[in-house]
Amino acid sequence: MNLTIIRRFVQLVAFIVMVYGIGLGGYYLADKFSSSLPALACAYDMETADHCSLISLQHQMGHRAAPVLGSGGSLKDAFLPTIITLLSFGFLLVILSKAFCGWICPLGFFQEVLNIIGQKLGLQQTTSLEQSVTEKIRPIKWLMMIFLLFVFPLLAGFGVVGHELGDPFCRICPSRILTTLATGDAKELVVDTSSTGYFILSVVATFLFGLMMSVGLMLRQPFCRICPMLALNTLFKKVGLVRLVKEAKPRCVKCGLCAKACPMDIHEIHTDMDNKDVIYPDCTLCGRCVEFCPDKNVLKMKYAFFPILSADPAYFKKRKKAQTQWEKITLLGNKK
Amino acid sequence: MKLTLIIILLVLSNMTYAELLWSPKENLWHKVKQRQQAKPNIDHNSHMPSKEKSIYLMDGHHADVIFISPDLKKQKLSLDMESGKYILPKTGMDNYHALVAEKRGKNSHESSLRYVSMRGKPSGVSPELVVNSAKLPLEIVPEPMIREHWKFYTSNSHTFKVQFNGQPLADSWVVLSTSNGTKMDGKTDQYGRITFTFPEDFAHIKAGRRANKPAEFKLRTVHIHDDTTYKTNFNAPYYVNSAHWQSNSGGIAALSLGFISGLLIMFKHNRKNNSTNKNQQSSGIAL
Repeated sequence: MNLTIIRRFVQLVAFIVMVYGIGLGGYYLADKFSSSLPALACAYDMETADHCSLISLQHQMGHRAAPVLGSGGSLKDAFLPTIITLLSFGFLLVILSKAFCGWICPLGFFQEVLNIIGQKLGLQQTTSLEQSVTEKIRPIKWLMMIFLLFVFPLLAGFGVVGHELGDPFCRICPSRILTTLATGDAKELVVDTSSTGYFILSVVATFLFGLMMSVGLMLRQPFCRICPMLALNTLFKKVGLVRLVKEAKPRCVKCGLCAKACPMDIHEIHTDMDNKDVIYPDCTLCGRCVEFCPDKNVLKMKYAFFPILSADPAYFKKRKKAQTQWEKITLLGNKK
Repeated sequence: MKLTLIIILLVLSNMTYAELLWSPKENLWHKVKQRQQAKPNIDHNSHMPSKEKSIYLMDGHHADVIFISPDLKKQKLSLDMESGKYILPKTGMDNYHALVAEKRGKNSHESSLRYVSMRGKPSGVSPELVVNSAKLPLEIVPEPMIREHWKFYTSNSHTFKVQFNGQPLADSWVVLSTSNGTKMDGKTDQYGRITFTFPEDFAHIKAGRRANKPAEFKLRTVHIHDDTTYKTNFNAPYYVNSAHWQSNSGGIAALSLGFISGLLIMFKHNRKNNSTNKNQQSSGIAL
C-alpha cells in the first residue's frame, strides 16, 4: 500500500460520485452541495453530483455583472454572486487545497488512466518535458483563466462579442465531452453548425479532446498543464490546510528525483533550496514528490499541523521497487 | 365504468377549450390548428434579465391562485384587471417557483400547475423541495424538473409522475398535447410514472438554439375519487432538439483529427529525444 494507490482509489470514488452522483442524492444534488466545486465536474453531465465553479463564474460575468454594470448598477450588485461563488470555492479549498486537482478532478483521473493505458500498451513515455517547454506552457493556464473565465464572458454580456463567447471555457472543456460520454450521452461530442462562432468552438473542443487523449497516452497530465481551474486554485493555495513542505538538504542539489516524479514537471521542487512552502502554481498535491524523495523528512505533506506523509528512505525503496515492477508489466509482455 | 368515464372526460377536455390552464399567451391554445409554431411572450430564458413576469390563466374565473416560492412560502395572487394577467411578484429568491391554480366545485376539482424560474438571491434550498412537495390533490410531477443546461426537448424522453394525495397513481391515463398540434397519450406504470418521447413537431426549424422560439406542452390527467372528479394539468415550454444543427459524425471526425495530431506530435517529440538521448524511459518513477 502506498500513497498513489490510496490516491487512485480516492480518484475512482470521486469520479463515480462526480460523474454519476445523482444516485446519492437525487437530480438536484448539485444545488444542495455547492455548484462551485474546484474540480472539473461538468454541469452538462445530467448525472453529476456537483458543478464545477467555472461555469458559474462565466455565467455570472455575462448574465449578471455585465447587465448590472451596463445599466449603471453598483459593483456590489454586479459582483455579489461572483463573491458568493468564490467564497464557497475558497471554503472548499480550505478543506482540500489544490488536492482537488490531484485527488478529485474527473478529468485529472481520466488523464492518469490514459497514461497508464499508454504505458501498458508499450508506448514510449515522455517522463518529463524540458524546462524550456514547461516555461512556455505555464502562462497558458493564466491566459485561459483571465480571458475565458472573465474577459470574454463580460464582453459577451456587454454585447461586444457574440453570445458564443458567453461561456467560452465550457465550450472547449474536455471534461464536458468526457463526463457526458461517460453517462452514455454523445450530445456534446458534436460539431455545431448553427453559427461560425459555435462551429469554431465545437471543432476546437472536439479536436482538443482527441489531442488530449493521444498526448495523454505518452505524457502525464497534458490538459492539467493549461487548465484554468489549476490557475484559479492557485490563487487560494495559501488558505488550504493541505501543505507541501520542503526542508532542503545539500544532497538535494544532485538528486532531483522529486522533479522526475512530478507529473506536472515542476523542476523548481528540485532546484528551490530556500522556500519551505513548495506548493507551486502547477502543483496538484498528488504527493508523488514526497513518495520519491529518498532523504528523511526533506519533503512532507501535511494536513494543517498533522503529517500525512514524510519522505523516508525505507518508504522510497519499497515505492521505487513497486513502481519498477508495475512499469515492467505491459500488455505486450513483461519487460525485463 | 370508472375508466370509461375518465377516458370520456379526457377526450372531452381535448375537444373543448374550457380548461383551467396557465398560458404565456392569451390565445396560444385556441389557435393550435392554425399555428405552426407558438411564440409565447413569457421570458423562458432564465439567464436573460427579464421584465416583470406575467402570465394568463385560461378559464380562470373563480379560481384560487397561489404562488409558491422555493422555500414553500405561499402567496395568494389576484388577477390584474388591466392586463387580464397574473403579475408574478418578486420574492427575492431565485430558481423555480410554483404557480398553482385551483377551481373547486361540488363534485369536481380542477387544477393547473406550472413552474416559473425567477431571479433573485440564492434561495438556499434545492428546487426539489417545491417540485416534490404535494401542492395539489391530483398532481403531475416532472421527474426530474429541468435544471441548468436541461430543458424539455423534442425527440427526448421525459418522465412524469402522477400522484394523488401524495401517493403514486398507477394505470392512470395521461394525455400530452402541444401547441404545435400534437397529441399523444399513455398510462402510468405501477409507480405512477409515464415517459413521453416529445414529438418533432416544429415547422421551419432554424439552426441555433436562440433562433427557435419554444412551444408549449401540457399534460392532463383525470381521477375520480369519492364521487369527486379531479382534473389536473402540468404545462411548460419545450424546445427544438439541437441535433438538428449539431453533428456527431463531425464531432468524431474532429476528435479523430486531434487524436492523430497528438500522436504525430508525441512521436516526433520522442524521436527527437531519442536521437539526442535527453530523455530516459522507464526510470521506475514515471507512472
